[in-house]
Amino acid sequence: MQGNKLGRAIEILLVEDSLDDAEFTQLALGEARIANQMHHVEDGEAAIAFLRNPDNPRPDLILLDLNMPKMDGREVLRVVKHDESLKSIPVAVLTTSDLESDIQYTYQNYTNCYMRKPVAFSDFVQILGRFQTFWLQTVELPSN
Amino acid sequence: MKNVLEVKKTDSGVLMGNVNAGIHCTAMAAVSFGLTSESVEELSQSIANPLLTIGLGIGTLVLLALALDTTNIVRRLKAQEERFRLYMDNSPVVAYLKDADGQYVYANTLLENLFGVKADHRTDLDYFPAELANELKKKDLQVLATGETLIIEESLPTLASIAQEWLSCRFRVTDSQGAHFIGGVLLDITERKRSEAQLKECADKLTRSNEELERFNLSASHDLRAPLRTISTRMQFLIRDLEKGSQDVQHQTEGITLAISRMDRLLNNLLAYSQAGMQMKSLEPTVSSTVVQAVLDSLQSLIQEKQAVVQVQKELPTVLADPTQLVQVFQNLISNGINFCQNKPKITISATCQAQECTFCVADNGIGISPGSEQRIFETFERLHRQSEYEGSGIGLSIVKRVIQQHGGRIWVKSELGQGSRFFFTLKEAIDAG
Repeated sequence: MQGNKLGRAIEILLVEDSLDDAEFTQLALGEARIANQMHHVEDGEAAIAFLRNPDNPRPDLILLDLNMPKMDGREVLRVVKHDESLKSIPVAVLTTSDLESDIQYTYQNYTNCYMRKPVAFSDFVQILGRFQTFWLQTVELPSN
Repeated sequence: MKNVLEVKKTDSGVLMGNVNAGIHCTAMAAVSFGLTSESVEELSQSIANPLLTIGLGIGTLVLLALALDTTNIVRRLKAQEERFRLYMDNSPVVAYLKDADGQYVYANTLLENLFGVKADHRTDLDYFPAELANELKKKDLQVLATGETLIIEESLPTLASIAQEWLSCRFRVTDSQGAHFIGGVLLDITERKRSEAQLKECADKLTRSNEELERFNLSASHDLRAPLRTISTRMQFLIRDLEKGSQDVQHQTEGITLAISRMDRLLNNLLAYSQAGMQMKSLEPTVSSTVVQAVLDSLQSLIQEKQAVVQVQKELPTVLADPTQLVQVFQNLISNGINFCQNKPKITISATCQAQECTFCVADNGIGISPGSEQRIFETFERLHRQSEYEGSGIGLSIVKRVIQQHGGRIWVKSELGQGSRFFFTLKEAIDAG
């Protein structure tokens, strides 16, 4: 596993309703050699509950799906980015949606980046590899 | 008349004879113009002067001509007046003339027949409700003040108290004395307005259905792509595992099988959804008890597996429906009630009818719906629950909603989280034709 600037395994909150996609994301992050501690929740309500529970570690990054039951990813983004204590956490939208309106909406609501889930797993691994190179090895993240 | 004839006795011979004829005629004309016999006699006395007599003769001829002409004018005026009256009273437009005070001075037959308005110097206040009359007056005053013709659409109730739509035209008329009047015509456009409203309703319906279709396409492509992505990814893992000689391929093959069955169910539901939106066969009297029983039979294995209890009201009404589509409605509502339940499912099906409309209720003791989501659950591909909690394609209730709407009914839900749900929908009652 490659190291990162934090000097510890990074905490990632994965908000994803599809169990298959959650599994693939974890596998892809593993293949991209990202030392991580993954926390998986299946909908927006669970995501907000996780973030507001002081017993949980504060994630270094949020990987956010958009189309989910209960509270969807757009709503989660809006809540997180309007919450003083949460808004500094980088949010990466990871979705199958390639709608211009979704791209517009999420950047309007301060997403830090927007990635489309590719169909082929090899592409998925590649994208998450680039993602980690940038977010975990290139940029400085606020310390918790 | 005798006095007049005596004037003949003069010395002037032939000439005088002619003049006498003239005097005679003059007298006749004078009488016919309303002079008294005394004044005619006076006139006769003064005719002693022959010169005067000649002059009078000529004057008489002129008067005679005038009299004849006046009769002609009166006749022509009468004919003209009759033509005008026939024209106005046979016209399909309502026509009126009001003076500057708003008093009716002319009303054609149609105006009288439809609104009871006569040319009796009464105002709109005597014929229409005060509020409407004041509104009409305001428009009249505007036209009187500006002199500009006002063409608008107006809603005016007729005597039969059916509010009708009119194309109304008001214009200012000024007579030779400089007095202003309000002239107006009204053309009945009720039918036209009705078809306009129908057209608009059609267009609105089309817009809504297009928007729905657009959302549907988006969601369909998203939801259909998900199992495809799973299959594609697991296939890659599978190939890699096999190349490595790994024996444990079960996880991937199971995942693929699951994704395929998910996709299969999705496609079946999509098919059902599109059929629910198609033009239905004509609605027929359908015994809903029979439909419910058929659905319960088809759900037998699910009912047994979940140990569900289903109670059905003894006699459910006969409704106007497409039976195969009504099956879809009950099938989705009952199986939802059974599937979205944590304890032993209990389903109750009942109906009440009032004013030829039957309201059905499918109640369950399931997990209920969180407040604010009552509308969302009827949208296509909307799922309220995690895949790991409850399986579902998110299409079932959209099918139900679509079928009910196609039947001209309404559907709604009353629910509390954890307290079960009650789904209501309406259908037209089939009235026994005898």
